[in-house]
Amino acid sequence: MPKKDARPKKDSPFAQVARRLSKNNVAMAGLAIILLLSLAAILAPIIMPYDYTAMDMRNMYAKPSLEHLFGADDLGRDIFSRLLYGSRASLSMGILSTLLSTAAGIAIGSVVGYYGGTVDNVIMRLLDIIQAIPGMLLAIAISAALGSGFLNTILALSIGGVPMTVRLLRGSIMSLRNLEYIEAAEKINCSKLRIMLFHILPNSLAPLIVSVTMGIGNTILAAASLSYIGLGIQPPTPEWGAMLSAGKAVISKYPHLCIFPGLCIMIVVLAFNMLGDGLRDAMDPKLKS
Amino acid sequence: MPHNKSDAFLSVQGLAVEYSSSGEVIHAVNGVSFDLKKGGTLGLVGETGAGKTTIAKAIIGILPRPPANVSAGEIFMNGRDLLKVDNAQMRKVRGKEISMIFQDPMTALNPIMRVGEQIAEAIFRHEQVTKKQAEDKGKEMLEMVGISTERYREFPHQFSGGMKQRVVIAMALACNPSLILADEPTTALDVTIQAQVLDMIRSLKNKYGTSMLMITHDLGVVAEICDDVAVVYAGEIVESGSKEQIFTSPKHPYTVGLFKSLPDINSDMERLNPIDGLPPDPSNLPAGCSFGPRCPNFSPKCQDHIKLKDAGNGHFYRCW
Amino acid sequence: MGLFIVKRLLWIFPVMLGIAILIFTIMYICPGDPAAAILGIGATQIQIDQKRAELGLNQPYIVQLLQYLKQVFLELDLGTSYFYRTPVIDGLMSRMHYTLILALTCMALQILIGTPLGIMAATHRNGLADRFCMIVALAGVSIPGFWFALMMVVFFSVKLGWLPTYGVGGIQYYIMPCIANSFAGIATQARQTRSSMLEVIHSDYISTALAKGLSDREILFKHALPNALIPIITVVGNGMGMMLGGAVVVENVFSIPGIGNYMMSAINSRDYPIVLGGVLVLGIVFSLIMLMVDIIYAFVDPRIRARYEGKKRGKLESA
Repeated sequence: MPKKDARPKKDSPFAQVARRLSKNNVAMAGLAIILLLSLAAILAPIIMPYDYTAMDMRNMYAKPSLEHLFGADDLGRDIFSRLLYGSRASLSMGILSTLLSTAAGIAIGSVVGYYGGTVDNVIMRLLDIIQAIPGMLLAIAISAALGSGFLNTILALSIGGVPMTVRLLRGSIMSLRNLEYIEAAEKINCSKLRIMLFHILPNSLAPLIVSVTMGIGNTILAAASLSYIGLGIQPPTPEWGAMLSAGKAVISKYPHLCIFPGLCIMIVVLAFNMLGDGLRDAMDPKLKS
Repeated sequence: MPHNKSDAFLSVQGLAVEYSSSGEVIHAVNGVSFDLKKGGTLGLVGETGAGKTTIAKAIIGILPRPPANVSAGEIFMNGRDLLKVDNAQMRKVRGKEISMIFQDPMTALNPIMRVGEQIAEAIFRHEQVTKKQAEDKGKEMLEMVGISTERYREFPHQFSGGMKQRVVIAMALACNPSLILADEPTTALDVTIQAQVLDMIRSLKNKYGTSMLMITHDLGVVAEICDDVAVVYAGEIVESGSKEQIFTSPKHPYTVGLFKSLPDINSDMERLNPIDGLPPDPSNLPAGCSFGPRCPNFSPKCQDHIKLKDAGNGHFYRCW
Repeated sequence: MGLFIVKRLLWIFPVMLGIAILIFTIMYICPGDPAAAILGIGATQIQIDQKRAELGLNQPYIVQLLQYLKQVFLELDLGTSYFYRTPVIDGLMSRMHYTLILALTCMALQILIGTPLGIMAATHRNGLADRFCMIVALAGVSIPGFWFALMMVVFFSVKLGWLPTYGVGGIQYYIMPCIANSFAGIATQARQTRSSMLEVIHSDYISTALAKGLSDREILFKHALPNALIPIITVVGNGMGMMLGGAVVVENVFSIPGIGNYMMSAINSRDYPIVLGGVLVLGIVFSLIMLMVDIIYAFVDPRIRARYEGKKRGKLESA
């Protein structure tokens, strides 16, 4: 019988996004860089050519060579090894504080978006206040108060990001909650928690994923800035921003102490931005005709 | 479709439009031909996605290029092929000789520009008038569509849907065009408002002797306002003729199906009779008759190319 | 419009109060004893206790907070620096102009360069101009500003000797700091302008404008751009926040004696009144800029004006 749907079967939304994303060379390059760097960070102790703490006074400020790929620093430590090991701090700070602020944002945003009314008003006004302080300044103030260190820096970086996630989620909940299928779910006595978890959150996922991806890049940048100005993670722990800061004093004579850490930061942030852009286009094909 | 250039005001011949996106070519309009008499109204009927809006946009020359591309055909208006007119000249045609009424009044107006200015803008563009004269004419147009001139300086968000569509109509009629392309002008409106807006379009059209291409999927609108009808399916005209011919003796199985799917107040049937299946994927049209896969009378010969058949008195259909 | 501005102006007071409470609380929980910091290393415990009592540091949190708020908002006194022993407000005010010049110049660059770049990219979709703009924009949001600043110093100051390495003075001292601090803002502005323009270009009212026979120029400047700019206004406001935060870092690179440097040295010497005061003052500056942004919003978009003027109609539209 010819009476059938003449259209080919469409695959699931997730598969569609994945298919569109895989066609995007820029985004795939970003993803490849991220995966490669994550692998390098995990395997750092195994693959780094030198111990990142090993000093070698004969090689102080050594220029990049086959022996020391990116040269050596003021104490003759191998910069390549230090960067490799430092990727652990940078990547994990970026990822952890973005996840932390997103989780907090989702929790607050769900409450705010779903209950609305007074709860919404009070919490949103409080968030207005947090947002009234430029993000970098807030991070500086918090890490000045808490002191430097890994966990303190993560906390300092994540607080400023919370209001944005809340706004994003609240916005999409507001636009979803008036739709018929949410009303239908309410009519058949779905619990609020169930509606939130199974009906609203999955539909707000696309913008959240994009914002997390971009957020990780930005947070890595902010973390490096903090370490650079003497907050965040401090020497002798190898961290890219701190290494840059240490190299600053001798930059005119030995620029390689600064060039390579900066390049590392740039490449990671670039990779997350490339992937984030690609994800956004893949999830919102409207703009990509 | 046979045609006689001299008595047709608008004559579209073998129009084909494709959209290309990431390597895929979508055949939106495939060799469409029709004539529109001076002062007449032709209804272009078909489902959503059949290519009706694309036809209208091709006539007024506002297809987004790329991705759209007119791959074949001619569009004669008063004997001049609009597809050969350069862009600068075409700008003088748009809004002046041909104007278009869009489907969704909610989004058709610039949200941050005063409605009056949006009307006056077209007048100032095409007539040799001062800004003040354009404003006066704009107010006149507002009044003509039944909106008080006091609302000239208001913004679209202050208007209801029906009022916005009146503004859109005022805008379309502002320069006294000889052809109006009405793209589902009532679809987005409440039923009661629909009737008002249709009445208004008809009376204004009659007053100025404007020709009109009425795009719709609503056979009720066709019955009310059109002289002739062309039924579009998958970017092709499958049947055309006068309203009486199409309504009383439809020939093409698709047209027959359209009428069957209407609820009938005189019969006591319990369910509607929809046409089974969905329109074909325009990037992958079936061979021969594109309605074939859904047709109750399907036979192997439907997969060959099918010529237009003449049922007499200007009634044509594309079927065996 | 008037009502909207008044309402919005009144909102600035609770925000300022909120910033002060937030910052005070952050500083309150921080470790380290200001009394010990003031007296220096040689102080005895008795001296420290005396100093604590003198500063009111042995009072409960709420008393200290109220004391601080009263001091800040009623007496316009941000306290005295432990280290310099001068009023913080004077220290901030004498350095303010360096930070503001830097941030405002960067904001101007962001608008004046970023917006045209984004428009160019959107109107030449997928063309060479688009590719170029987007590569510049992607680089801009990914390059660390302080590193870019250092690289410029190496190249333009050390190698070529064209520009001064650090310090303040004539316009040449501001060139590299401004480029370093505004690059990210320019990039963000260009990206947002582009995507906003692309979205607007596909809207129905642009088709309407085309069907009216308007020229491309008229459509771009009268219909597309004004609508596309609405979401971009927010980007400009946020950009100012980025510039103020970035100024702190860039001031550090170029040794510009602005609020940022003042705060940084205060952080190192645990001189909390300066840190508190600095964040508070910059937060207030930022809030004022956001206030301006909101007023511009209402000026450009009649729908927003309506939401504030007649509550009922606004709700109707957003439903």
